[in-house]
Amino acid sequence: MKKIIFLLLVLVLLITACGTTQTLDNEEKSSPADSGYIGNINEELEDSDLDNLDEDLNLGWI
Amino acid sequence: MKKLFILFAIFLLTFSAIAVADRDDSNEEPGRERSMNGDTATPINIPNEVVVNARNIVRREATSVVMEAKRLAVQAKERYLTKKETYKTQRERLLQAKEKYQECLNSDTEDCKLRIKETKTYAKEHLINSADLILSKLEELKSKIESNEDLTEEEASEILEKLNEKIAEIEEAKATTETLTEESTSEEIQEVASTIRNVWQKAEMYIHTSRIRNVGAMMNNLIARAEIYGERLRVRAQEINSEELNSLLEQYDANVERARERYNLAKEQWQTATTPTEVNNMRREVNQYLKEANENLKQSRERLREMNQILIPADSEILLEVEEVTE
Repeated sequence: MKKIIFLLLVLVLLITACGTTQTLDNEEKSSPADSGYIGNINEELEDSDLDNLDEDLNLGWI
Repeated sequence: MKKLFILFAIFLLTFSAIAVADRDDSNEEPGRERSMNGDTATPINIPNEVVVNARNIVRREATSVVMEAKRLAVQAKERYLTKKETYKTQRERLLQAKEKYQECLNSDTEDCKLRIKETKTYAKEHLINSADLILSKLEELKSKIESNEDLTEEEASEILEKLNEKIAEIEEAKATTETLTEESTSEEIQEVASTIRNVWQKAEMYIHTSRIRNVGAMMNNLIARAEIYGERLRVRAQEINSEELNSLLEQYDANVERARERYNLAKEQWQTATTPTEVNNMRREVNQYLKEANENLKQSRERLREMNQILIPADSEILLEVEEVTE
């Protein structure tokens, strides 16, 4: 009887854990279609990372 | 003790059953659609015009290829950031060597000869790192385009074709760089640097246009959605006839119209720019238009939220699901 209860307990804990993970996953994914606008538009449009590359590739001094 | 244990097991069982049931409730039932607060809203009769508008939202089907591209886009971003770190470190090393190199140009000492060779090796590594950095940026952008469901197949293929062309050109230039040695002359190094620089200038143009088109496609579908919500709200407003609701709807429409207008201005600009100079000139303006369009969409969403607060008590909240055409 004790073993059955223990197994049941483990099963219940597993189901709860899976359910919670799934819910968290769903909450984390918020797309522009959900919010109605692009949340990270600056990041999507502007990338100044490589702005100096042209200058860095000028090795006229060598 | 035994009783306590059983009670605890029953409590956990009940708790998990509630959690699972709650999760199931959040799944949409066929024929019922989700509203803003996640509840199911009362279906409304949507005018034909709105259905026609809905057909304008064309999205690529989220096939396994698109899903895989989304996963790869995250990895590509991480790879790019790693490359950028390497690039920065090696560039710093070259800049430090530059000063000593210039001092050594008119010297015949053994130390100077060694420094000159060392600087040339650093220059070669810098050029290879630059090529790698450009390649990883292009790969990152490629993954973004491949995973963007808002672009049509035709648009995505067209952008990807250009990006692949640039990748091939950079790889070719990188291969030339690898032939350099510490014995290479200054002219040989400068020639290779100039080749990579020229290829980069052309690639940069496609990076900007691809990024703009990527955001533009998302924006177009978001505006189309907002227009459809506007039509639905108009139907509700006629039914309820509330002054507050009508005023909010007016503001909502103004925001959406402004977003559409800004988007059209941006599109006009990016479609006409074909040369690197033109792209460079239009870039800031287009980015500004798209940001303004986005800001208007954000404000329209706020108005939508406020209108739904009025509509919820009357059980008239509008549906936020929109019929899409998948390719």
